Amino acid sequence: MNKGKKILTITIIAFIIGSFFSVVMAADNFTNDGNDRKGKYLFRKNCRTCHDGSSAATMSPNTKTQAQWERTFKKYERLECVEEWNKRSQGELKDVYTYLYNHGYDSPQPATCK
Amino acid sequence: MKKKLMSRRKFLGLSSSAIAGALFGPNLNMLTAAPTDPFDYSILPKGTREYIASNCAMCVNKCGIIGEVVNGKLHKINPNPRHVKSRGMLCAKGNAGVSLPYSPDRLKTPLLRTGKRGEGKWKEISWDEAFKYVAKNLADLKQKYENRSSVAFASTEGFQEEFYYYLVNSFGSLNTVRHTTLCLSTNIQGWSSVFGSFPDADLANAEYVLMLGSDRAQALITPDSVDFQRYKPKGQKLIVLDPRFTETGAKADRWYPIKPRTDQGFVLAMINVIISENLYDHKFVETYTHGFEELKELVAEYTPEWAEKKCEIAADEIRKTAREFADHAPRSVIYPGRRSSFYSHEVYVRQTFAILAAICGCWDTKGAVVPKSSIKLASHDVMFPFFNLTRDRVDREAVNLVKDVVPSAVQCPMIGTGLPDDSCAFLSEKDGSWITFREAVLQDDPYPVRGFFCFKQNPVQSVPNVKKTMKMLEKMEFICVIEQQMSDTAWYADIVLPHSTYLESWDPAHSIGGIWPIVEMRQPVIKPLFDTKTMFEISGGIIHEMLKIPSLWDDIDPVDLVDFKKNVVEDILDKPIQDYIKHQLVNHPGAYKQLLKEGFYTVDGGRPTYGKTLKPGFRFKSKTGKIELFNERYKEFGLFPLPKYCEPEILPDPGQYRFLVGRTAWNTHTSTQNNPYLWEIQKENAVWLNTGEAKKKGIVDGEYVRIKSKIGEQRIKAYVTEKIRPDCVFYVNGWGRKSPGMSRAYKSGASEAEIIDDVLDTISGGVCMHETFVTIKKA
Amino acid sequence: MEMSFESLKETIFAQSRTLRPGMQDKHETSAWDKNRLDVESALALKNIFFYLSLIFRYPTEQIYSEIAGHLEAFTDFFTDYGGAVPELPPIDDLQPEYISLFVNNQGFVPAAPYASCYQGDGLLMSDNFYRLRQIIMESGFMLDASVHELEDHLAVLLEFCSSLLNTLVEKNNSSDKNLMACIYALLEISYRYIEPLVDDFTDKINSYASYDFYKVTGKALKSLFHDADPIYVQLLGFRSNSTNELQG
Repeated sequence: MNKGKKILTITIIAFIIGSFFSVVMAADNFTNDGNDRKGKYLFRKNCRTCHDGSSAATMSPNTKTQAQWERTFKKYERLECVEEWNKRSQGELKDVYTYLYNHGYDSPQPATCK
Repeated sequence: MKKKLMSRRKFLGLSSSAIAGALFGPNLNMLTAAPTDPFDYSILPKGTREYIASNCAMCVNKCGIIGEVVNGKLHKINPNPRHVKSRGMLCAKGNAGVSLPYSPDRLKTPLLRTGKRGEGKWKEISWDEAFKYVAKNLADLKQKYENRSSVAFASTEGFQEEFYYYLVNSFGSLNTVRHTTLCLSTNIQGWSSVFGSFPDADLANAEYVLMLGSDRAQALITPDSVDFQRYKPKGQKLIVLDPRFTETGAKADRWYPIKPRTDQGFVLAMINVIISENLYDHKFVETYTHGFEELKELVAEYTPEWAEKKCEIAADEIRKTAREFADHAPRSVIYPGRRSSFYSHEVYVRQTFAILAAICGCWDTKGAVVPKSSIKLASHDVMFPFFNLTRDRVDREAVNLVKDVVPSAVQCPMIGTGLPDDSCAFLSEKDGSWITFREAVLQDDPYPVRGFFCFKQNPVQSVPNVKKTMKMLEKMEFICVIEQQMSDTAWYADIVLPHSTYLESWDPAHSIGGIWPIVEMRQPVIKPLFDTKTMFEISGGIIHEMLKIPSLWDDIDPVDLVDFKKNVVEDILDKPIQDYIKHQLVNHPGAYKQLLKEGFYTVDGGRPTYGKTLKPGFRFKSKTGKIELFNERYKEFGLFPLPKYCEPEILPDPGQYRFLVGRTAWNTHTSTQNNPYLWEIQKENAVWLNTGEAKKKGIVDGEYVRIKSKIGEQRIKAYVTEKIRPDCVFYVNGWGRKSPGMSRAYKSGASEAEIIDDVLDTISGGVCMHETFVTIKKA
Repeated sequence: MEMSFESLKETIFAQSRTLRPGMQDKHETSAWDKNRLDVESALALKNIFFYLSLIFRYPTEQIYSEIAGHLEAFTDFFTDYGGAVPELPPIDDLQPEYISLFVNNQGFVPAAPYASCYQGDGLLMSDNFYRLRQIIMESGFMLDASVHELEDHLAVLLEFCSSLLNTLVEKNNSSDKNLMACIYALLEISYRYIEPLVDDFTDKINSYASYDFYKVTGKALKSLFHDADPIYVQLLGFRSNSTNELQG
């Protein structure tokens, strides 16, 4: 049996909301085969600075279920902090996704962001 | 006579050359002038007697203690009568802790190996030299292997462990390996597969308690060990299943000598009865659970008559137990226990236990199995650099080597064991899997691990198959052990760093989850006797030296290094540990004072809270968000989603016995056998052998026998008794030590690490300590 | 009436005796006249104690060179009391030897150099330990802050005895009662703390030592303290009931 690094297949529906985002959106088919450890680092460095309860809601991998993380990443262009997202490469976003997804609330190893 | 004395004392004469010896060099005095006039008796300290609250560290329970300190010496350790978790109890080990700081055997100063490894040649070095030496070796290993995970870090639980992780994270290795897979990883995995977390049992309020394989009267867990004895006389019913008539069995209303490795069958049959007789909690099942119909279908074949053949317990007894359990629900407990490193299918056993609790609604209510609550402490939001030269855990990257440590039957997919045969399905990232880790190191698969740090763990004694552990240590180019005593593992180290005892150190606040959640902290009960340090100080010292070596920081973002120096080193490690503790408690006004006074802190007077997972909208940590009787994730991973009965994969040959191991109430694993007070209770271990079997072999009680497995052989006294089934033998762990220095435990009795085969549970990565078969003959 | 050495020694172990001998008993304060001190012998013994103190410390480079440098001066002493002149192994051998005998061996320490370990239940800081701390303080000493050792480490005890002898020799202007306290301290350390240790301690060394160095020096230590009565009688100039002839 293969332990299974599960590859998520997400159907892309490219909503074109604005010309600026359309380029970014084209590649956001996130899978959880990025670098989990790098993702943790990037999340803590870039997201936790606000999402620690100071200026935005506290956020840890176990704040959301895996399905919820999936949805969040699929539609991140709707988020207030989309500009921060756009500063990161697709590879980096995939790393962050991998970390959050792998440690989501209903994952085998739910994690707080410590 | 007279002449001899005269001549002997000639040095006292005028011509003695000894007078010339007066010209000793400067700065040689250990004594210095006291800051007052000699013979000024008024300045002498008056006799003092103080009572200082702290918590015990002789085992994992951390019971409340009050040290009685007379004239600076710890005179006695008393139980803290107000402590909510230990209920005013202090066991023999806790009492014997009084001798720990005063053991002449303890490590006193950093030691550096000068001879061959294990030869026992050491020299003293200063802490500064030690820190430099360790940092240099870390840098060398990192340069040589270009992979920070080439250094592994072993440890076990304890308040100072979090500072060990400061060192680990500052170096950047992902190879950490903890005690969990030697102990309760299967339990955590099995219960979590149903409820999403590992619960406690409310023995203080239960009416009916079913214990399988837990000997709470000997292997003490607070408050359980106190509660089951305290509340039993109030009419609580206790049913014990164990191949041995244990001390717990002696307290029980009924003891069933169940055939080893068949507990799952007994509980499956109970579930069968409860479902077929419609005794389950319909409302609970409907509201909170997922997969009941599948479960019902699965257990249909597991009738009490079927189970009787497996467990060798009469079907009627199983039926009776099932009905009683359902009658008393929800105040019925199927006891989760703690160590569950028993069999290769153990996760499914524990899943079955949890399912029984679930269908009877014995969850999160008074007298049932209850999820742990905890008091939230403020964490230090520490950011370590991202190191590029770090590979994933060796026991995760290594695929396919586990075939060497699983029973051969697991590798045969036709048998359908429901167990993976190439890797561990749910490896915990921090705990790792001891057996898999060691196997990967031995095979250099997928990469070489050549550095080994060990804090408070003694793998030479505690990990099954000692020969493999020794081989693993031989492969290491650098071994650093941080310990209180020269353990079997420390003896093979290159450098040994002496850690202060729990009675001499400041330990950070720690939130201990449970039905009665508390926060604990340690303050020094006495001043350190020797030049020892705590992990907080040791990590700080090593990290400071690491910062002086540029090559240790060349694979990170330079900005991260600046942040690290400020946020981790200056703001935490360079500050007094009391600052660290005060920050942890920042959201709990008065807690620090309370901890100094009482050694523990509670919220709401420490009263339990029930039912938080039963409130509308609560989501269990599972795929469906419900209590999963049918585990969706297991299905996804190709495991049994339901607790299908697992037939034994390994069977004894004729003449062989299944080997069981356990504990006594007066020793903690391998760490306390040399304690002088505890040694008074027990001076060696003995192997339990059934009277009938002994008779066949002509072995009499008290006689020495040889016990042999495929791993090794030990010599031990026989305890011939009716209290054990004929198909198994048993002894307690921690004896028959390798170190002649463990003078009291050296070659006294037998070691389990020399006997137990390294068999792996491939769901959790835990070891299976009861999958070894032995033969016995007269010594 | 002048008290004999024997009765003086008895008071050391008397249950009723308080810690502050010179202060308590007017009779005792006049029991000794400093003019009777055999100064030369006191200086010699002072040096022997100090040299033994060096020997039973961890041999750092500094300590090792002191031991090596002064060994010659103590040839007579070791020949008489140890039966041989100790052969000093190279420092790289002596350091591990010291550790394995006196600090940490595989899980234990064969010859713990602490007085407490030879009393009571064999653990550190046993019942007489606090008293020792007080005696040291009373006598105007304390452990240097840089020393991470217990006061009843053999090396500390020997150095303390050496210092007490030094006080006896040098403090000519001190009052009699302070000197008497010094003598009490010297005798109490010798008889209550060191003497009970020497037999077991040297036996353990003999069982576990790889080199002769600590065997010979241990034997010298043991013989010296077995010989303590006549030495102190001669040195302090006390009348002795039983060992009159030894004063010659």
